[in-house]
Amino acid sequence: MQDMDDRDFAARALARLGAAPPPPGSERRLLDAYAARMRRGGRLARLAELVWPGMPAWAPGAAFAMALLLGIGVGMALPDPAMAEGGGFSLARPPSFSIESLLAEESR
Amino acid sequence: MHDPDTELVARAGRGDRAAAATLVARHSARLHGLARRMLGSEADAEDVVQEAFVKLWTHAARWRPGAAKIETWLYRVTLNACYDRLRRKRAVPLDEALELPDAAPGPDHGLDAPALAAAVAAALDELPERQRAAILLCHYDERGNVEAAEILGLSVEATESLLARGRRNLRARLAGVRGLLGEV
Repeated sequence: MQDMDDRDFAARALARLGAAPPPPGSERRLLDAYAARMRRGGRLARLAELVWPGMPAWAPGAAFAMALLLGIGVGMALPDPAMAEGGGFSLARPPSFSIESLLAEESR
Repeated sequence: MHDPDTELVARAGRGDRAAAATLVARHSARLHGLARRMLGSEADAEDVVQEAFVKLWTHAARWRPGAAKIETWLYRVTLNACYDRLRRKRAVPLDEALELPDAAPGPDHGLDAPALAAAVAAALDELPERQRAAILLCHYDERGNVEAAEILGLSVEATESLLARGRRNLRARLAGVRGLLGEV
């Protein structure tokens, strides 16, 4: 009973409050914010949506960064194939021959 | 559950300004009314409605229909923004101009309609924020209890309990003007 009285009272009291319409130009400002948002995030969001539909823009970016790091890591961990074969030429090592040795070899 | 706004949000996310305009026209006025009554300030109300729509535009491109309707989501975001503002404002002294009329009988009998509306608004301002939100959703915005519960993120029972406390508090705070509100 008390609840019912309180409910009726609240309904009557709030009926005294008039409408609180938005200030003039409010809808236009909301749409300006929409246009600004579309301009700013538009291209990046569309690219991200193309790469990985349905995911936030950071997801394809993070996947790309992970792939890059993994590639660099694997590249650093694996030995150089040429070095692994034991021969080959490397700028990191001094050449194992010289002009003199070649000339000596030819004169033999 | 069919949500008439889902398609509009998807179109807005693809850059369709007309769809965005329809969403704004459909929801902004009611959201503003709620925020205005929650915060007591037109400028703050406009700001929080702006925040809610900017969040909607941000998520629009990848919006997926979920459990909550877009309208419910907008109301929830707006209310949360209101709570944040009220928390930040708590340190600021209340506006003395919105002082409640004295609960003692007598002085209220001179109140005209605008003063009575101001008294109701001031009494609402003094309610705890969640009670105020529940009262506004059900009695000002005329939402049902189930919908109000969804917006508030509470169970229906908890919302009804919140409403009951809010109504009781409101009635106590308006004791001085009960006669003018049709109560003998």
